[in-house]
Amino acid sequence: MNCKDIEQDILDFIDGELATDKADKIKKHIGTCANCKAFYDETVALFGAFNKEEQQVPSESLREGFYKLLEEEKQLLNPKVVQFNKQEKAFPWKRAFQVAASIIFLFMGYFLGSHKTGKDANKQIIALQKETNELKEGMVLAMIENQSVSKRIQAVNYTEGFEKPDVKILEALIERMQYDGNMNVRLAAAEALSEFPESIMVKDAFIEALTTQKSPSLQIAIIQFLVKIQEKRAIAPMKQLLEHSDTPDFVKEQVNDGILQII
Amino acid sequence: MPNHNKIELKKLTDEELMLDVSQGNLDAMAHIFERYNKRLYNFYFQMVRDKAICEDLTQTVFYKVMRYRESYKGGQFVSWIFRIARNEFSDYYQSSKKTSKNTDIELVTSKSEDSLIEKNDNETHLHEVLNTLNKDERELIVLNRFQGLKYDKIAEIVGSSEGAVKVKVHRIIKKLKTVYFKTI
Repeated sequence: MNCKDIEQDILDFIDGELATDKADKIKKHIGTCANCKAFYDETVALFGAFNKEEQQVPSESLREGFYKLLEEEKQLLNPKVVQFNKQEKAFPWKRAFQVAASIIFLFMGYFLGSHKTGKDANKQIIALQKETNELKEGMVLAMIENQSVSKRIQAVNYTEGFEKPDVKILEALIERMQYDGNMNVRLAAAEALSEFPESIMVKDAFIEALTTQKSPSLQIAIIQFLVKIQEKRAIAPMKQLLEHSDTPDFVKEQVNDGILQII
Repeated sequence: MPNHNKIELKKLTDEELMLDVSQGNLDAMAHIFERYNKRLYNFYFQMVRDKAICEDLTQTVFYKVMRYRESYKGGQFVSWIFRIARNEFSDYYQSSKKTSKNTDIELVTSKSEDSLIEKNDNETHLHEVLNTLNKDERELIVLNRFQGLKYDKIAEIVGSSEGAVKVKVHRIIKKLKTVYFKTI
């Protein structure tokens, strides 16, 4: 080991970085070589000066400053995360369902309401119609006995609006047809009664009226009705009309035509 | 690697802590600060004997570590943080040279009252000797002799090879000895 090698390894030797056998060799060399001993001593002295350097301690403001920065950095980190989440939640399903549900409830409410009110309205209308019919019937029955001919005719005409008139109405009308003093009222009643061909009561009344009524125009109206409903029972009283001397010729013609049509 | 909880953090190596930080666990950053703030501060103090400047520079290093935490991809943490510290010092050195052209400063010695250091004679002498070095020489000596960093780590910091660093350090120490014992 020469002096050049010593110079190479002296730092590691001082730092204790060398393997023991190499370190021993250097130790030995330093003991014999004055130059290398001086080189070693100077280096150790210099390092000694380095080691005397005191460690400096930074002021507390460094630590305070750092923790402030750290907090700021954490603040930066957190809003970022929140914003990212918001962006990710592109479609707000929960909100969409809420809106959809509210719309459905709105329509359900509307339909339920309209259905219910419709039902109620129908009921009310039916009740009102019933009430009106009752009123009309009452009015007809009251008016039909009136002194005035025109009022009686008006009452008879009111019955046209009835789909299924009460028995009382039919009785009143039949009575008008048979016994009213005014021929026009009797005729109007006959016309009104001809609207209800299904009623047996009406048919019987017409057959009876054929024998009792003397007015030709009423007789013609009665014959037309009985022919129209093909009432076989009317044939016998119609034949009687033909034999009757009071019966005008044009009524007889009507009777002949009618008998042919019924058969 | 999952983030570590607070109890575990103390036991971790510098590298494990920094990886935690890089993955967003900023609490681990506090441990890094506690482990390294005095070291970095003293590194700067050997370069510039001004407390205020050293605190500023140290603060900046930790700020940058925090800010650019994601650029840490493992590897020797001490080399990584000192590389940042060294770059920071270079920036400071360049700007201070521009602002004080007239003063022939190799390294700035602050004149401000509050940052003046109580000196004994030996310390003054060593500092005078150190002042004869240029910035890069002084840096190597500070890293090697004051920070106790081995040649391989210094090589990583300054971007050189271990052999080249070793040769340079030897040369600088030889130079320092000459100045030190000539003027003592």
